[in-house]
Amino acid sequence: MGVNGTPVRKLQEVDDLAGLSRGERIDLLRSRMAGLGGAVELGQEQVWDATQVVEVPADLARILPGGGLARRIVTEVADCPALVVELIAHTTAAGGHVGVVGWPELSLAGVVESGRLDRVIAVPDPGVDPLGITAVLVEGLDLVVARWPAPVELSPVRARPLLGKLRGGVAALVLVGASVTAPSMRIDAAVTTFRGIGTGTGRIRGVDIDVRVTAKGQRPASGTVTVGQRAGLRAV
Amino acid sequence: MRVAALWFPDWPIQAARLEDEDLPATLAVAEQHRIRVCSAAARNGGVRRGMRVRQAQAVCPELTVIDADPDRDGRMFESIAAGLDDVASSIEVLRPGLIIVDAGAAGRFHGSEDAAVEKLIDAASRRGVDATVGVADEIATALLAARTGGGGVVPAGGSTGFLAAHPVGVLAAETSLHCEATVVESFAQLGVHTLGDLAALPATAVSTRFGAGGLRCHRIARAVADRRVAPELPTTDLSVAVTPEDPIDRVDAAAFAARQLAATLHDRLRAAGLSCLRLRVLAELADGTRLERIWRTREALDESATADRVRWQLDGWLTSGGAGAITSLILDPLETAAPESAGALWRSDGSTGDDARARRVISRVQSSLGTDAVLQPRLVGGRGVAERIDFVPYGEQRDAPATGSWPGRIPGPLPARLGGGPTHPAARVRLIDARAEDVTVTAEALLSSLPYALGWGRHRYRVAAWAGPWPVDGAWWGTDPQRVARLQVVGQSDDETHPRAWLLVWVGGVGRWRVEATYG
Repeated sequence: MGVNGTPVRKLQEVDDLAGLSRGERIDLLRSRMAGLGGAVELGQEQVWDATQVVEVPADLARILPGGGLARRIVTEVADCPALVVELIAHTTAAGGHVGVVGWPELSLAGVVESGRLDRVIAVPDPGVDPLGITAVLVEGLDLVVARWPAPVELSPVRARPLLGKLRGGVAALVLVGASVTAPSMRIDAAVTTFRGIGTGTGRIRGVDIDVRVTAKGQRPASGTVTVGQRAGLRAV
Repeated sequence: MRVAALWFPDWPIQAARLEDEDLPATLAVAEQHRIRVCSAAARNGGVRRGMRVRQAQAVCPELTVIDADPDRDGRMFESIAAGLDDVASSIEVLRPGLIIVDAGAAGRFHGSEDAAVEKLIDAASRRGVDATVGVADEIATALLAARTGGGGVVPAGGSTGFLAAHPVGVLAAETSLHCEATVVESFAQLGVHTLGDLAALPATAVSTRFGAGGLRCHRIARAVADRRVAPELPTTDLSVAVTPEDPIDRVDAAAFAARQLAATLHDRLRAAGLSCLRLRVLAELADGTRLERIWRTREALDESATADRVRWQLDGWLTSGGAGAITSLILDPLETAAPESAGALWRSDGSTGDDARARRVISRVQSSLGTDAVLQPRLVGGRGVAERIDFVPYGEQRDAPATGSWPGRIPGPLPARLGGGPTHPAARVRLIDARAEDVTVTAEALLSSLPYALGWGRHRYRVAAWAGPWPVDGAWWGTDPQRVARLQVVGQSDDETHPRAWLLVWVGGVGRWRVEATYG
């Protein structure tokens, strides 16, 4: 202890290390750094943390790393409104807030059945700076869907302010029709099957969406997301 | 419970006389060419309520007729009601000319019921004002007692005996009793002449034959205990208004006025210890029209939030064109509540924090794009897909949409893309059968033939499956009836591996198919 009560590092501790082997010395110093609050992460870095995701339908959660849409990173999603509506419905049902930027043709009627419409806001016409509007929304919402009518490649210079805000917020960002260099995750989706409809009979009761997920550091995975009635066993 | 009723007979006549003392004694108040109220002198001359004015003038040529003015009745009554307030603590004005007082409470205060009633009569007496008092156990009985023979006191427990001799017609004479005239009339026609006769009938018999209206009369006749005297609660008018010397026609001037007005409003609210949850912004324009909009927030509006909302609103009105210069601006806090900051201190689940954070960013987007650019979808119901969702500016309050079951609506899963999609914005859709003839919807809401192929812009699809048509015959009562029919179609192109599906809508008036929405 110093004169005014401030702890002063004891110099002889440095000498203690001299008697140890190299491995023991490293362990000792690491444990001290942990005590100082500057912990060194041991082992492999955990990229996909299960608590840091936005909930998605169970079919999709099975093939996504972490079991959901990761927060604070960009996910590119193919122009498949059926899948996006499912994502919105699930996020709002779990209590999240969703923003949809620049997609006036997206019909939110499907959200009503399993989600909550009062947690959705839409900015159909984001004006001249859709990236800026998206950057504001990612700071406070849980899921932001931004869509460009024509495919566009966002240069790193344009995307950087948005990505900075995204890392500071809590939202998962879904880009539809725009691509950034080296996205963390990409979901390709296409509707493949319409179930329940015949030639003049029945109605569309179920829709199958084939999904292929390409995530950084993960093996590509594919699966099927079913909306409505599932494929059942049929008597032949 | 004892209730005293003070009745001022023919109050519109008395009010008119109080305002203008030169009016003659033979006086009547008319509304829509019929006599509403007449003075005693006119009644002696043969005038009755409900007569045509011409008929009344014919039977009583010296009759002076004035127009009904509910404002005058209320205005003149206000001073009398205020005088009664000094004597009794809880008085309720049923209508101008009729007051009920909690006689039990007043009696305990003044020593006895008689003393209290005497003080009430003293307080109500003015030159040229007539009043009668009735005291009874129930409100309805007290009203009838006041109207019968110059008033009277019905002893406690004697209501049924007092009412028994009254004819049923008295129920319809007083509007504050809320008895339907037609029901009372049918009682008389069926031989139930007095309230005693009515009270002798079983309640179920009355209720099954005359419904709620009959039951109400029956309860009065049996002197069933009713509600208590409900005095008006004191309210303070917190609204603030500004009328600038020069009408506001510029956005920056509007912003300045908004800021100033918001500060005044919040000074008032702070003094009253309240926070505002629902705000009405009201503007009067130079051409006399009034514009108003109601804002509702889940958390209390602070000063800058109020100023922002008013500024956006004025901005919208001024820049939308058509709306002229604003001559006067009023902020009216419709709903206020005591601030509840104590709960937030101990809340740790973070759920409200998420809400607050979301609202904050949404209002930031609103301030950069304008309030009308940030929309909140809501379900309004409908049979199609596009018509089910309506968008309102975030934070604005609209009337709740009518709820209904919408039989015959398109069931889920719903198509998620409205219109034909980005590559086919306005492409025409043709549905043909195997003989290459157009498939239409007949008047019986059936397809004219089996669809075989679908042409959509340059693309050709073979129809793999279809369902429908489901007809909707909408707005047939109006001038613009819409006969549409919806059809689900799954098509397979030779160039693509996966089928596509559309929700087509047949527009009857035009006679062609349109893509309402696309699946997938």
